Amino acid sequence: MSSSETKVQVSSADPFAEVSLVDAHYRVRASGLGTIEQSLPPGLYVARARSGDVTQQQTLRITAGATEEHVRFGEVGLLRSSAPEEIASQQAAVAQYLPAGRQDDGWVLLGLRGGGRGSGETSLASAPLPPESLQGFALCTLDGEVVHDLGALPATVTPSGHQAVVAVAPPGWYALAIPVDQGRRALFPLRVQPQWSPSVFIEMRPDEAAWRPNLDTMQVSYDPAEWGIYRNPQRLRAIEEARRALARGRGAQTPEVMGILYEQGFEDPMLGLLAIALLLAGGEASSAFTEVLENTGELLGHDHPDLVIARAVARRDRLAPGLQRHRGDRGALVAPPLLRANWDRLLGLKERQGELLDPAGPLFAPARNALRAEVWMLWWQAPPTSMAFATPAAKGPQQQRRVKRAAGSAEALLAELFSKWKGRLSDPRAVRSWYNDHWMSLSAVERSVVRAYMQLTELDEPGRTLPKGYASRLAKVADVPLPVLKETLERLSKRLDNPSS
Amino acid sequence: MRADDYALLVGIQRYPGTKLAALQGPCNDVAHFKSWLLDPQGGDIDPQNVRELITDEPPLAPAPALEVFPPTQAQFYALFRSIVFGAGPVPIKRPQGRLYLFFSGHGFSDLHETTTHAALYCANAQPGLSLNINGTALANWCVRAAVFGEVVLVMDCCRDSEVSKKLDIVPLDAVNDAAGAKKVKKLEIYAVPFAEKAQERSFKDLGRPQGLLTYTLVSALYGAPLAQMGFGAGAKKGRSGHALKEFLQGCWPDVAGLDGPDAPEVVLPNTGDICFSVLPPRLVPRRVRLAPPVLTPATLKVVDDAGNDYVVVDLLHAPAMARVTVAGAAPVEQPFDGTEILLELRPQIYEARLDAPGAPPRSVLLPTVGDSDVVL
Repeated sequence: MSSSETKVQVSSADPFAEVSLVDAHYRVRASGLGTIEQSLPPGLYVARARSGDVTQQQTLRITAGATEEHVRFGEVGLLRSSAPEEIASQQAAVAQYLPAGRQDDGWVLLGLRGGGRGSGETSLASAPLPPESLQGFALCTLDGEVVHDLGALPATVTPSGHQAVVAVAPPGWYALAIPVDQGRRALFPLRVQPQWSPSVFIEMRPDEAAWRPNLDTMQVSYDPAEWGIYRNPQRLRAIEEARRALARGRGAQTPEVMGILYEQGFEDPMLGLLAIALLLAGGEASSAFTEVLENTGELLGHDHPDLVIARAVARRDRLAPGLQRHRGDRGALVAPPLLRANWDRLLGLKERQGELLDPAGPLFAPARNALRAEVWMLWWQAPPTSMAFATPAAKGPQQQRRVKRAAGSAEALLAELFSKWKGRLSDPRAVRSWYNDHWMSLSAVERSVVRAYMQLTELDEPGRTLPKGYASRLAKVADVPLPVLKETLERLSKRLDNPSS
Repeated sequence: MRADDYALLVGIQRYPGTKLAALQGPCNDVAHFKSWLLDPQGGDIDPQNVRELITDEPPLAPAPALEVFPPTQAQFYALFRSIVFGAGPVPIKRPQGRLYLFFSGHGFSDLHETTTHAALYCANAQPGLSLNINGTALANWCVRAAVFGEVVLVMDCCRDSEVSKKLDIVPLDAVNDAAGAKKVKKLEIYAVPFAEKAQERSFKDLGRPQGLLTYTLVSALYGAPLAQMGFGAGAKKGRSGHALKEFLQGCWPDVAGLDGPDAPEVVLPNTGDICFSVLPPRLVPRRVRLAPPVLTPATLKVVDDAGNDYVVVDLLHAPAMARVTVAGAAPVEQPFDGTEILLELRPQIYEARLDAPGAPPRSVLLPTVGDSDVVL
């Protein structure tokens, strides 16, 4: 540093903010995370801090003779989902709305809040949503049977601005049913334990007349203080960074983020699961990996599906030296994993392929109806009429035989439908338009059937027909119980006959 | 004129076969970038060497079938061949030349691909068939084949991280010129970092919608400072890729806004750099609005980074007039109604100060990139 230069420090209260110093010629003189220091000659500069999606900036004129300059940015604009300040009565509010339960019971908290670009909202939470926004949410068993209709429970606004309900639940695995599209619900797996009860926070976006959940920004926490993550901006930010990295399929995070995930994982084991997923995505062996796997297993149970999958991959790829065998490594998974990245890894584990095909197992329905989400593993809930068939309670060879028999008739059903369409087709442009608007929310069977329909519409001749064997191939690929297929085809047929309704 | 330089410009606004929303900026982006390319003070390219592939405006009637809705991948590669192969069977080598590959429209990146990259959807993309042009792979092909000495890739498109969509495998035959490839310099400019969304908006100064990247890039191509390039006898003052990158990042919040998308990602050449111009930065018009209006004689000063008065404006020294004096130049008079003054400035950040008798002094930061008015 020459005698004419001034030492400039720019820092942000958010340790993950991207901080930079730009000179008057738009040259970036220094940049870094959290805090930067740079010696600069006299001149005009702009200090900036980008935190989340918001940049703050401040002009700085350095004059000759100045020795030090400090610019400090607050946490404003940390995240669009950041919370308003904690209020003093928070603890009292917890007691007010937590329902009574047995000593061993846990609970599931669901919190909804308006958010996202669609609402024109800035960094702070908006006014609470109406209690009606909880309509359609339910706590279900893993095969979709409703245990608690969350929309019918009394709702409370939490200090973080969420419209929240709490359902008491005995320990076990559940699925949170989330209304996503035109009454269709997606399921998300949750484990309730006496010491760890899950809280799920969802941002709702206005879409025409209804509110729709933003599944990509969904937050899941095991923090004992329910909305605890919203009182800890640093943790929230670390989760957000981890969530984004997983959404992008990227591993390596900054030491600051990983440090928070490791250290605060004891208060919220969800952070441990995120750290493990990031380490897996990074693909580099480390003793930290072994440690975080063991610690998170101690907290959540070693048979947690995300941990079982992570251990299997870590062993296969030699990422975690000295990793022990635990409960769950040899038996079948008790539920689908919470993280989509782990589900994708599960699909690559040959030894577990059989579980995906077992109609009585917990992976059968998710494998067929997986919903495309960035971070969390969700799947479409089968239509209520056929729920018992889609995820049968009975186990064993008898059930499997029933499914096999049904597949044989599926071909006839499809052939019958295609034959009907040969003679009468509605407006192909309207069908295509409807398909373009909805294909993301359709199951694989529905997509295949609509594609077959569109293929027929492209043939002008009266005797139009699909390729030989199309129906039988589709029946095999569909691999869903006959009642489900029948219901699906009836519903689709009505829709395609009148696509613009 | 740079006779060996070529450009292939693609702007796609409509994707009727998919859910992708119609855009308004890509054709304007192509026109804006092309105007810089053809400008003797800019890219200085021969107009014959510029190929353009854009969405038809107004739309063709009757509308083409979705499967062949233009611009298509086939049309693109036909144009690319016309540049790189001419009429012959083998690529033409232009070691002194530069190829600009410019893409504007909807795009994506592949989740599984860990190197910096982006692809542009073609207009005939359909659900389940995401036809696209992989701009990065094409630029890499040009490097491997050493068909140009320099390759500049601009991707003004989103880089959504896609799991199931497949990147276009460049359908050109492999041409590997290992020795030549080592000398090729490649500069890649992406509108946003991986998995982020690019944006377009209407710019007041242009009076039309454009992509944020193209708008800022053209500003940078005219305005980034000259720097020492190279060493020894070969050294020269030029506008380098490095300078362009810094300028883009430095002025980005002034264009995109403080809550806009992240700054563009620029991948510099592995060795050396590309010189875009040796001309000094071009002056840019800047409107300074005065609120409340100035109704009595006052002085407006534009102060540069060294604290010197770069421009001094005597407001209302005569009725309805202002006298503008740029440092080292003769004063110029312009009409002034008390509410705004138009200045021509070198592209950098200034401070504007207003001193009026009997009123407290007013000052404001005066950036010169972007279309937002400066209010003093």
